[in-house]
Amino acid sequence: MNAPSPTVFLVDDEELVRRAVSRLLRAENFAVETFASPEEFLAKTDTTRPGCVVLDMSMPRLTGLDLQRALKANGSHLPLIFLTGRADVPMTVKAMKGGAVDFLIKPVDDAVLLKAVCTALEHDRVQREQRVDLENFRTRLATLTPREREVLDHIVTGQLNKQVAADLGTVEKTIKVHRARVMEKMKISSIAELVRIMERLAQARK
Amino acid sequence: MNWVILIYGILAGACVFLAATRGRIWWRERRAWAHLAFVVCCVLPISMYWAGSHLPWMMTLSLAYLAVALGLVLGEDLTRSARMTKRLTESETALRASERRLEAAGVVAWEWDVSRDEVWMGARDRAKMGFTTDEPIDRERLFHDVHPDDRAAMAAEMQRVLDHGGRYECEYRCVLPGGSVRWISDRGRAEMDTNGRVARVRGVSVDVTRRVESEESLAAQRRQLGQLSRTTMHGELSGSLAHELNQPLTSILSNAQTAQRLLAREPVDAALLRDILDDIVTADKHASEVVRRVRALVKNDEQVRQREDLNEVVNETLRLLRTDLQAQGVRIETDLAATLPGVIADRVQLQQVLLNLTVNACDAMSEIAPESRRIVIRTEVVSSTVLGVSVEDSGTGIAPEMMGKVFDAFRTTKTKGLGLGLSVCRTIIAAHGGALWATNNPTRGSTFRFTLPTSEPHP
Repeated sequence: MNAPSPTVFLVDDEELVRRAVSRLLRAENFAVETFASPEEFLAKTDTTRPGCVVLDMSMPRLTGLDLQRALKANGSHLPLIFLTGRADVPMTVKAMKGGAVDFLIKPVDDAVLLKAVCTALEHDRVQREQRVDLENFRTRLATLTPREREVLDHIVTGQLNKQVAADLGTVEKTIKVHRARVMEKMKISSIAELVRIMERLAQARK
Repeated sequence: MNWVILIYGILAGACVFLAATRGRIWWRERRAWAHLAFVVCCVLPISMYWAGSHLPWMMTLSLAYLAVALGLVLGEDLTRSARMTKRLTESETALRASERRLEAAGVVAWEWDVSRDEVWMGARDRAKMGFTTDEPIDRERLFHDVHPDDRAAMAAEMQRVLDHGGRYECEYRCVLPGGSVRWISDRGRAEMDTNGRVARVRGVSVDVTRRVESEESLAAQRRQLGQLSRTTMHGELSGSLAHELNQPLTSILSNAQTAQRLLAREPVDAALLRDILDDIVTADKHASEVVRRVRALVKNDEQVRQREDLNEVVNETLRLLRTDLQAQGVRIETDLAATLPGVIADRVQLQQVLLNLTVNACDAMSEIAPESRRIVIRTEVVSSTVLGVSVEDSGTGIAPEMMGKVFDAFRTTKTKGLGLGLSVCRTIIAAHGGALWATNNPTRGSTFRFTLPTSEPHP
């Protein structure tokens, strides 16, 4: 599937800053969209789009931290880069704990900003791929019959076919058949892979 | 018979003589006339009747009566004369005592005859005020010694009293003999003539130089205190200053670095470079403006009072403090009146007051949980002539024993700062004709309120 190209979303209440920073990013061929406030950004943007957000920390009404919370609440996974004129430790800690990719001080050196944006976009790309994979796995998991699902749950604990058969009250042969079908439906070639997938799914659920 | 007529003749002559010399007093007294009338109307005809047989002793009786009456009248005259002299002496002593009292108080008494435009002043007082003993003092002569800047006000006050009567009050600078300049305070009252127009003004003048000088020194002290307070506030503003400057600095740096990248490429996008340079210039001007504004806040300038909008002052102050407040996690709410008449005030000073109150409110909440920190700033129309501003916090409130002392100078519960803020704020608001006070909120925290008179009263 063709992913739309990533966009850098720039949110800052100062027009001069928006113009200067977007100019810099566009000069390096990034696609940039600018917003004067978090409210404007949330209202006008589909936050499932690929990209990252570069935002000012202290804005009137909704602050940068508020936006961070709002995006999480919306279920958006956009990586955030905070840009601020003032850095005190509590603010930084809060931002990073909230999942920001980076925290930069104004005035920001161009190399520093561009590196942070690249990192963030890469981060976003990788995350998206992972999410797509997980989604695929979930779909495939859903196609398993209840019995097959039971078998899978036992296999991933490392049990031999013999043991699984004993637990489920059936013959080894049946288990072998189920196992083959599970591997086929899940499109994987080894148990190790299956284990990894199930772990990832479990992680994502948390 | 001949010597009777002779004696009566002499007595009549004596009466006429006395009447001529003391007629007025006698008329007032009327007693002498009563005596004479009695003698003339009663004794004379009776004595004439009895003239034949009893003339000698009738005559003696009437003569004796006349003599006694005249004696009494003359005696009264003499005693009255003595009494008058005594009263005059007493009166003169009292006058001299009064003059000495005025002199001891340094007070000069005068009387201004309006119709002749002439001021009367005692000889000693004339010397004191720099007039010669004889020269006529008219208005022009008066103004000659008065400081040119004060002449207009004095003339206006004189005209006002001439038109409307009543009290005359004026303070002005005067050049006294010896060249010294003193502040004089005149106080007097107009007296009307029978036509209801002002005939004269009587009053005194006092040297009030010492009082005026001490007032001016007090004002200078207050200015100094304000300056001290401004410098301590400088520290409180540095965080916001840094933030305000970072915006234009960011713009300049990013723009310049973008330009560097563009110049490294072929072809060079001149239009874009031009835009970049324009923005750099604009950003620089913004930065200068920020510096200018903050410098004005800490400079010890003369007051400039003009029409200001309190809502604008509140908003500008909040812009300066926004980052600091957010760093403390304080929520700021404003409740500004939709239409607010203007006040004549010194904008910088009002900002100082608001800054101080807001920073204080912030500090008051440093002990409570960040989520509960809230400041509400309100502006409102209190009455048709008064506007009000209040800064409310959700802190711990003011302890009851501190309530009366919260505005004292050099009182602080903070570890830094001189504790000058609130006392200077009160002085500033008072100088603008308003009042500043604090109350504890019914729920939590405290509210600092001040009122100011509006320059645009409306019903």
